[in-house]
Amino acid sequence: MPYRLLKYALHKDHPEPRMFRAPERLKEEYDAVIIGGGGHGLGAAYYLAKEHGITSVAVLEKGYIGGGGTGRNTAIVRSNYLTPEGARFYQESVDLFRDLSREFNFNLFYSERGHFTLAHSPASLNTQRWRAEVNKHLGIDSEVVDRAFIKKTVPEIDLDAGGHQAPIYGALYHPPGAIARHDAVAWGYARGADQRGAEIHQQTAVTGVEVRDGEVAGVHTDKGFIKTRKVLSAVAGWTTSITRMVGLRTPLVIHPLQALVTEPLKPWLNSIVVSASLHLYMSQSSRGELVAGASLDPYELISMRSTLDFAEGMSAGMLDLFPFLGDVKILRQWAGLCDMTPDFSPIMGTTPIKGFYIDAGWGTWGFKATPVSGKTMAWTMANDHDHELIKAFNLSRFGRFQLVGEKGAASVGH
Amino acid sequence: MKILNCPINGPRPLQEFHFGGELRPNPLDRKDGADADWADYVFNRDGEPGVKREWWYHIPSGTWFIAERDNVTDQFQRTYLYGAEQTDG
Amino acid sequence: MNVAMNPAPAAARRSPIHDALEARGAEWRDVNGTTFAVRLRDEPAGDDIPAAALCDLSGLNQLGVKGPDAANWLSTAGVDVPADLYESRPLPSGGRVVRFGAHEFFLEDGIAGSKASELSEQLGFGAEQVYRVEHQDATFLLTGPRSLDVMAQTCGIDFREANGGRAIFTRVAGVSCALLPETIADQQAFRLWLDPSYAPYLWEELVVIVESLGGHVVGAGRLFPDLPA
Repeated sequence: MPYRLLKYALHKDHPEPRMFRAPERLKEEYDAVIIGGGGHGLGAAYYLAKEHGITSVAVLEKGYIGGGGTGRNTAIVRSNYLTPEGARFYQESVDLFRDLSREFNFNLFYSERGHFTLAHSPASLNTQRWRAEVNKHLGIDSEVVDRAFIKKTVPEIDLDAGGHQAPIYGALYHPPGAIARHDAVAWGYARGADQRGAEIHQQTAVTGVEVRDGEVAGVHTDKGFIKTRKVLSAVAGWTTSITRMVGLRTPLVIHPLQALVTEPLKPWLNSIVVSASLHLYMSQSSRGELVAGASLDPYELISMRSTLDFAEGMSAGMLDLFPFLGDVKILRQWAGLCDMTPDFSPIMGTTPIKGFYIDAGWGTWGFKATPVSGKTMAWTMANDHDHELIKAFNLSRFGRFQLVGEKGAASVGH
Repeated sequence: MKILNCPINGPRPLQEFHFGGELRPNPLDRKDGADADWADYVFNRDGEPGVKREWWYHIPSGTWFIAERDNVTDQFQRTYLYGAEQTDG
Repeated sequence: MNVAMNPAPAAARRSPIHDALEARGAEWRDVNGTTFAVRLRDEPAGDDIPAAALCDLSGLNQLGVKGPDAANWLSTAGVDVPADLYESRPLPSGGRVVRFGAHEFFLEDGIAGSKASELSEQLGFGAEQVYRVEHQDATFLLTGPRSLDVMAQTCGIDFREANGGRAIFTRVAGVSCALLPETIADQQAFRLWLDPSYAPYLWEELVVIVESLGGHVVGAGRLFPDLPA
């Protein structure tokens, strides 16, 4: 037993400090203000302090940290994307994720499981072959595997989907595909940023962004005005409320995406299993719960409500692949907001407003990009021009008709 | 079960409908043809919170119509056929 | 190509669920150029209508017309034209005409009667502003005391309050259908028209539900004893 734990057992109170401080009031001025205390925003605060020495930073969060998309995704990390821009970007993120527990000295339960994207038709298998070849060309560990390999790795799977769905012909297999404890990623970045001087203000809502002569001058909050010349909007599903404050037009539309967990089971599913045909992706968390997500809700909505339609459809898909789950209960279901772009790539970097930076368009692919987004957005804010890895993702690409069509994105219909 | 009122077929479960996106001005009405304006039309959307006018489609009968909906509360406020906004509630 | 000049196809139609009926030992009979399953091997003996009866009538002659002059054209041809949207009226010698839109009508002959097929052959010769709307719909008939329960399990509409004789466009087990509540032999009945490519799926679903309620798949001979030989 670690000595520290033994010491707590003998003490009446528990002297372990909080993960991060709760500053009493906002200062009058900061070098940078980050709107949104999710993984991306906290990551940017962390790297601003760690790599660029910018420590006069306030992270403003209207709820609690990690309570938005960061805590609502299905915690999958992978890099088998299809565009060179996307693959390079997400591969950097995977590389950062692998070292993050050590860097934070905080266990993220980062667990490489192997990621299957099932093909339910010969045409789909051809697409997976294409993806595998593109991935290999970009140096990403990715290959097409046959039914026998799937069955050997996931013996519980019904490869013929009970005859209710088209059978599985094969799969794209991505060995580095991983899951992580997503709240811990937010906490880790929060603690790291806090230790280096950044302030995290929860329960602080932004009500306006002050722009004078095309330059950011400050931020209005429900706790008063803050002077600053650099603002990062890292609020994913709420981005359209912030861009409205500064008059920026974007292609973003918001759809909820729902997910659920079952009651905990003994470990049986080591891999991450994804079936686009069944609108399903599934893994088993380190707590034993099966975590499963679906495709986007079919219409725009800026609300995190849950529907019975989803629970029904998701259960049907899970039972087609794993019929023995019939008696397993759903523990809870929830929704997160996805700010969707027309090309399934994010919107990152500088904007026409000097000092206003955007980190948005995170749709269904935000969690896996947390470290690299934090790092590249911090660089972009410190240098006031776009980091090499995110140049292709600038908001101006739409005006130039230079989209980055990312067909490797999750849970979107192609 | 969520119910949407089709102006032709009456109240029906939401599963009978398809969402067709926001109601936008016809691009052919634009006088200008500048690339920036065209890009704005093609890509940008009014994704902000609020009451929106949207296209909806009743699948079994093939009826397109307009619904006014709050995209935060998900409440449908009224529906009418395209062009019938003034006469129908 | 001038659509209006195309005469109607003359070949007999075959039901999209022909094979499913064949597997149930269907006894076939040709009536008005259409092949019907008049009796199935496993049907209960006698002539009673079971708790729920599902019958395939795909193959009845159908005609869709639309255009500014469609109503006038039908009226001149002796058809009692429905005035309101979705209203249906009987055709002179059997069958139904339903108003599908302001200028669109759907006609289907009954087991007896040939008005729809006659009009189909006339369409395109001299009629201005009347255009054919191609229909190859499957037609299912559901009846019996528990037919309401079948609809309750498959559809989002409460048919206890449905107005007989008016068509309803809705989804049945997820399939888009035009549905006509009617009365057959004093029993509540529902006529379903749907795209034939979905017919095998919907048939299979309805059979499972009908049989679970103690009903049966029946041949046309049971519901229409006067079926011409």
